[in-house]
Amino acid sequence: MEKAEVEARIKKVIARVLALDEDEITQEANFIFDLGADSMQSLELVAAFEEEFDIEMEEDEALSAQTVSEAVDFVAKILAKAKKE
Amino acid sequence: MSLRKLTESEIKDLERQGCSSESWESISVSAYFNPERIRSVSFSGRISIGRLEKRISLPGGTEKPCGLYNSMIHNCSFGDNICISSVNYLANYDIGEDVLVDNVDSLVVDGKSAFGNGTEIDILNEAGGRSLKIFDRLSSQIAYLYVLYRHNESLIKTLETMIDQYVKSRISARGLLGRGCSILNSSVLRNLVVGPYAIVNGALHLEDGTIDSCTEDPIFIGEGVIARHFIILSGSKIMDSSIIESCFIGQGVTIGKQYSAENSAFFANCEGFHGEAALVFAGPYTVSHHKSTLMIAGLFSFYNAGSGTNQSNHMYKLGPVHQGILERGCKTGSYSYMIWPCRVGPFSAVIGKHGSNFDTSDFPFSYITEKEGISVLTPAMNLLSVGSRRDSEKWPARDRRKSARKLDIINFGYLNPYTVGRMVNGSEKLLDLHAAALEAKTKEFVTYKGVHIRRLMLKICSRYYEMGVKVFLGSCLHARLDKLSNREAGRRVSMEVVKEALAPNNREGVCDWVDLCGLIAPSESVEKLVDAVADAKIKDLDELSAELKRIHENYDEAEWSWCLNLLETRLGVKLEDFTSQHLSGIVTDWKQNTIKLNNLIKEDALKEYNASAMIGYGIDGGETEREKDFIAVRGTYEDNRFVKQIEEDSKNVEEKAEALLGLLDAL
Repeated sequence: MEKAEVEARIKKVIARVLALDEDEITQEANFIFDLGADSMQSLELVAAFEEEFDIEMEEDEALSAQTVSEAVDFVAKILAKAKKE
Repeated sequence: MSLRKLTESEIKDLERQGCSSESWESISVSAYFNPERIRSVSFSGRISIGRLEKRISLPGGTEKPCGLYNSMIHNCSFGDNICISSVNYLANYDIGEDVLVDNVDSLVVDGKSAFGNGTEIDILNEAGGRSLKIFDRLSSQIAYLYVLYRHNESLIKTLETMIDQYVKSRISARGLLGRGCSILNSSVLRNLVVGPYAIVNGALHLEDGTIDSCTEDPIFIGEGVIARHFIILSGSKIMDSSIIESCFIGQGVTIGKQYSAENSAFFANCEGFHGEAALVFAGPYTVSHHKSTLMIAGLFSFYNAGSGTNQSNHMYKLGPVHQGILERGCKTGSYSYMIWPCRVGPFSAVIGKHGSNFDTSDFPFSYITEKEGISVLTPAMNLLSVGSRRDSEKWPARDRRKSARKLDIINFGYLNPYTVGRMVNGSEKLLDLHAAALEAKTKEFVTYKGVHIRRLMLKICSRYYEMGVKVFLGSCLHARLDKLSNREAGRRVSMEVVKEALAPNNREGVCDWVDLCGLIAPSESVEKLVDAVADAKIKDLDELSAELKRIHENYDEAEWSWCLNLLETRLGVKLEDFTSQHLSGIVTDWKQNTIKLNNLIKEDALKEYNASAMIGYGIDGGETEREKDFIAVRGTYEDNRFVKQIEEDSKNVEEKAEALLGLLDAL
């Protein structure tokens, strides 16, 4: 899957879970400080990414992604790994 | 104590010193009696007086010679070296050695009394049906069975008979003041038994009660206290104008700062300040510290009530008939509210105002929050909370009980078959709910027994439970094999030897487990005990307490049999067919999941050091002052004692797991 597609889908998920407009979500946006995610919503985002991409993520590693671009990289890496396997 | 009658000259001396008696003949004194030490006392009834030789120290550095001064005394016996001074009326008491009673209005036994024993308190259900007869040997376990097992009529009947028998043995027309106790500056004291070394100072009104103090753990009752129909056990403190009506106060309890409580039982190490308790079964370590905090008609233990916590037991229909249960380790946030009936699973946090009746007992370690009027459950979240872990570690250190006879049995374990069993079931239920909601991806919530659970969280929370289960199973396996690896250090062991070490001595624990208000026990052991009581095979309260103790002492073995059964189920093989690969898998899971769980807890702790935690620091300065002020007050994350402890735990588990894997590899 192209990284651009991953990013677009991730932004859609973030918008849905955090009840935001997609336009508000920039690549550099920090989940907590810019997008206002609390710890529970952070976990919900992890779960939503898993559902969206049909993958399973290690929560502690996933939660270390602080920004949208870090989340995109993290998911893209898992998808690439899954493709190889 | 050998006693004699007063001599003529002693009577004359006493009269000259302002004393009088209805009958000097009724007064017996010790062979070493010194009449100098009795002044301005009016006697009636039978009186016996021991030696009066020592001096008693008073606060402020003065001393007073032992003796009887300025008092009216009826029908009392006095041990050696007592000091009774300015007591308007003292009647029907046996007073031990070294007792000080000073500046007291009245201290009287009026007729026969059981001194609070046998008082029925309407606990949990205000409309009745669960009343508890309190007595001075009551433990949280006996109370639990008596209050909550009403479905077993013969158990309740037998327990009642046992308690009645005991209460009967406490009935007397004479009160006792135990050796070395002090009763000072108090007003009305009626029908009391006071144990050794208790201090009552400034009490307003104490009536129909036992103050079961002991030498190693005295009781303190302070200024302004009003208490009626009560039992107070060793090591407890009741202070600061608190009001206690029909209450049981267990060992090491502190009640103060104008707390008021009625029809409630507080077991070991409870604390109540400022607030109110009504009809409360406060199991060990129930704590309410703040004003406007009401606990009503609920069962609690290891509980912390946030300020303004409140519940309702009344729906304006059939009266105040509702009850609530917060299982071990729960917390309620500031101004949280629940409408009973509700049942909250162990180690959960309730935040916000809840208007629905829910039962979350299937989901331990949860958050129950409120969103737009609905109750939202997030399972397993409290497992990752730094607070839960800290709580579980501080309780053992805060056991205030010093008496050799500790009545409440307390198992402090945080992960055990009771909590982990709930996690296993909770995890399965979450996966079932997830499977059922697969086709409903647009739904935000699924509902379960009165709460809403976010659909997206079902799978992830199930994984967290699984993490807890693996940590527990691995640590139990390690504990079991640790002895073996120590014993066989440096030697090769066979799989047969390992299996032998893993074979449980009994299978008592293979069933669901329960928390009997401190005692974590297999439900089948409890059922057997209950049957034995109901069938009168257990004859009295001592035998019942001994059997409860036996169950507790078998904990390790029963815990292992539970773990082994779960491992066998999960691996799909019996112990006989375990291989070293099976065991290595469990140990590896233990290591990985402990580190993962500890990392998540550390993440949670880290939030206490982020930018929002620094709000308000460095008040009149900039960024630099803010950080410096924060570090000066809070320290750094890296230096936090608890964080270091968690890191140490991860390291220890890793080392232990590696050593065990080495042993298993060599099989």
